[in-house]
Amino acid sequence: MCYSASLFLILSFDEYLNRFYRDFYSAAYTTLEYSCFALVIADIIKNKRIKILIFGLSLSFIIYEVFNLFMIHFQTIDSVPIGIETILILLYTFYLFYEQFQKIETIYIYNNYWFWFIIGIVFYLSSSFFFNILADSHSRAFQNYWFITYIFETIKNLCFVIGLIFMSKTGESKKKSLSVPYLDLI
Amino acid sequence: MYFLQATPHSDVSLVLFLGTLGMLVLVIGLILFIIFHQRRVIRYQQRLQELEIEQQKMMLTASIKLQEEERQRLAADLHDDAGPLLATARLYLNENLVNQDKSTQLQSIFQARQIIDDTIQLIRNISHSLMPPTLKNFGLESAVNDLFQKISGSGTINASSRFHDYSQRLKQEKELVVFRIIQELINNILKHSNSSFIHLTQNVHGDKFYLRIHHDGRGIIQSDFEKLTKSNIGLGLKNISSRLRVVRGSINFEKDISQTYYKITLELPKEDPYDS
Repeated sequence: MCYSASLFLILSFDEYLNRFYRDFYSAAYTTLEYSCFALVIADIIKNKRIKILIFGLSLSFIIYEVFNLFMIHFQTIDSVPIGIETILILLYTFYLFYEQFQKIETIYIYNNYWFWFIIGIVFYLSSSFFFNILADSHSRAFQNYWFITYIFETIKNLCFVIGLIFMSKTGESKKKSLSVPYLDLI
Repeated sequence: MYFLQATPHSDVSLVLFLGTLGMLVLVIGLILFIIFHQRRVIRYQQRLQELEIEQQKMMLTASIKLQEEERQRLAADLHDDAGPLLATARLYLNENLVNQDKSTQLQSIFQARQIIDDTIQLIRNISHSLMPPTLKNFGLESAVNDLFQKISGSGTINASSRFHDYSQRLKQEKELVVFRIIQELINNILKHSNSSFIHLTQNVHGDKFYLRIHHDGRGIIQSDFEKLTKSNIGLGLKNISSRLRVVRGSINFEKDISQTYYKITLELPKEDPYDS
């Protein structure tokens, strides 16, 4: 919710911010996006050590992003931090899936709300990965292809919507089972 | 291909196109792998659950069979032993007794009394086999010590037991279940192991109650136990398994590191977690 609200606010002033505060705008967008994704994944991961590791890596990433903002000037977007962001988030999701494989589950993975969030994140980041890392160095060549990222962004948002639907259903079933104690077998 | 032809920067566009396509293929492949792998794991879990249900059914059947056997044994004891004894006593106390001389009357009464005393003892023995009075009145420690003294008293085998920490008794129902398991294990050792000694030790650690039986004869290890409980034979072992399930305990059969004797370890919670 926080992620959506913040991005909606930033995108509302996209043209203005992009024109006058391009560097700050890109860095803020990447940091916000990374933080939200990392927070979602860390919330799902059960291993405390990995959570601490994610926290540490996230802190390092944010410090690097600040350093990058003041030290390096970029043409269109902050390609290197976005590349690092993608690699880190993909690593977290790989660990998350590994952790889920270790668990003995009786419900299908796609019935979990978080699965759709993660699929959305992975799909969006990996498919726009090459675009983002090449965009800054070849800004002219990529001027006409910005629409590609919007396609992936739309798919990500659709996955988030599916995730939210599953999330609301999970909440309902929890409420039902609480009202009749010891009814469920498991 | 559209990107390749439409732009002057075709090399970068090619990298972009192929890279994005590659990443998409990887992501879709990963998603499909996760979904199919998980489906396979769930199917495997379901199969395991089915097997467990099957095993539970087998145990239930074994338990019912054992109960029936116990009833038959009781019926046979009452019919074959108590019945004839009481019938004989009745013969001594027939209607003609009043017409006979005093010494014959006294002799008949004495005989009848003797037979009734025997019958009382027989019924007491049957009753004790159902619920040992030592267990009921003095607890598991006394009942086990009593059992081991009786075995040792026979002179064929050296049996001893030692309870290290039994200041807090288990619940009566739990004690009975544990006692029955010990009886079954001892019975198996006496029947099959040909051992020269049996030693039982008890202790508690944390919220767990432990019992260990050692013997130096032929024995089984955990894998044998699991095989036997899943097969059609080993009724006694199935019964042990189902009794353990009732008290949420576990059993482990192993050979000692020195390879000279076998160990059977029982572990169960001191308090039933579902009681509170």
